Amino acid sequence: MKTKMIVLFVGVLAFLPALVTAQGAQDEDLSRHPGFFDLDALDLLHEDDLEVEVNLTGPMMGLIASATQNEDPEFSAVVRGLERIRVRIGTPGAGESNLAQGLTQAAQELEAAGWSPMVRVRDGGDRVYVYAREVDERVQGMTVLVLDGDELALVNIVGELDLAALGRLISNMDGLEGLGSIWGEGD
Amino acid sequence: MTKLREKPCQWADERLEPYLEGELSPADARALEGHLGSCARCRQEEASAREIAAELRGLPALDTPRRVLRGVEEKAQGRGLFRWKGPLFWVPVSSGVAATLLIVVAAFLLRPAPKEPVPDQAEVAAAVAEARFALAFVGQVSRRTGSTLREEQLKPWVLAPLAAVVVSPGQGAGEKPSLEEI
Repeated sequence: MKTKMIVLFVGVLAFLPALVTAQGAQDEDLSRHPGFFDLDALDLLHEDDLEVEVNLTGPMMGLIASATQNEDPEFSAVVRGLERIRVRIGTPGAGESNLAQGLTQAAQELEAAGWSPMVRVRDGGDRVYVYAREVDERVQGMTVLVLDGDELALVNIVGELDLAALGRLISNMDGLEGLGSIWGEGD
Repeated sequence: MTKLREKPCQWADERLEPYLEGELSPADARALEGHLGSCARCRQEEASAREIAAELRGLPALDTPRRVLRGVEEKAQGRGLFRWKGPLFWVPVSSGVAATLLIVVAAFLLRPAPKEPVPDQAEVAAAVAEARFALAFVGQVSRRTGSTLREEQLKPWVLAPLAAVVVSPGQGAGEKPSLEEI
């Protein structure tokens, strides 16, 4: 009886750390998603430089899909498969003179990690990189890196993306109010 | 030990109290009663002793505080609460500690999960706008790069060959430019 109690007690104690780290593991799960790309790790845009920041994750994505199901079923269907939308747009400080080089390096990292280039544009100092991550012939994520003049935009969309549906959706899409000069309306 | 025949009054004094308590042997009691019958001094001693005993029995009985009794018992037995550490002592103690810890752990494991704050309608509406914004931005990038690509590709594939036809036939009919070249 005494031995059984000790075994049970040790078992419970052994289980506790796993329970405590469960929340941390949940966060790590998204970073292990093939479509995840850590925009923060690029260290190109600092908090003070940000003009637009979007960070939508799993539970909110489900709410967005549900909220738009009736009024915009195409948008809802595209969003429903997503797990995260991260956007960081801003004008880096004067000290960031190697933005183009930084973006090129980020593109190389993406390719080394198995991302497929969809668009690569180098126009003078400007850069546009659009990458998709495919797993079993399904797009699991998209990363967009844009440097236009002194403005920088970084986007990472995590989750299953139907590119055809996305293409149909964004072909007639507005909603760039507040974007600033970087390819906003009227540009 | 005093002998009755040598010092009979001293012998009687030594046995008077046990006699009054009824603790004297029958033989000694008979001998003492015989002496009392013949000695006035010892009869007076016996009367005084009976009187004192009666007065003592008449005094009120006082209760001893429990803690004093427990202290006396512990002192007498030479042990405190935790001085006895035999194996039988630790079984209930360790079981109690283990049971308490298990209850605490079980309460921790079975506690209700913290409720995620439910976003209100305004927050969801803002999130919808942000999601639309993000996808619209991706669309804008696609359109912008698509038009750029078309313009850039027109030069080597359409305009340059046309110019080459005019200026220098065969010039400009090279390979399809790679994205790196663009």
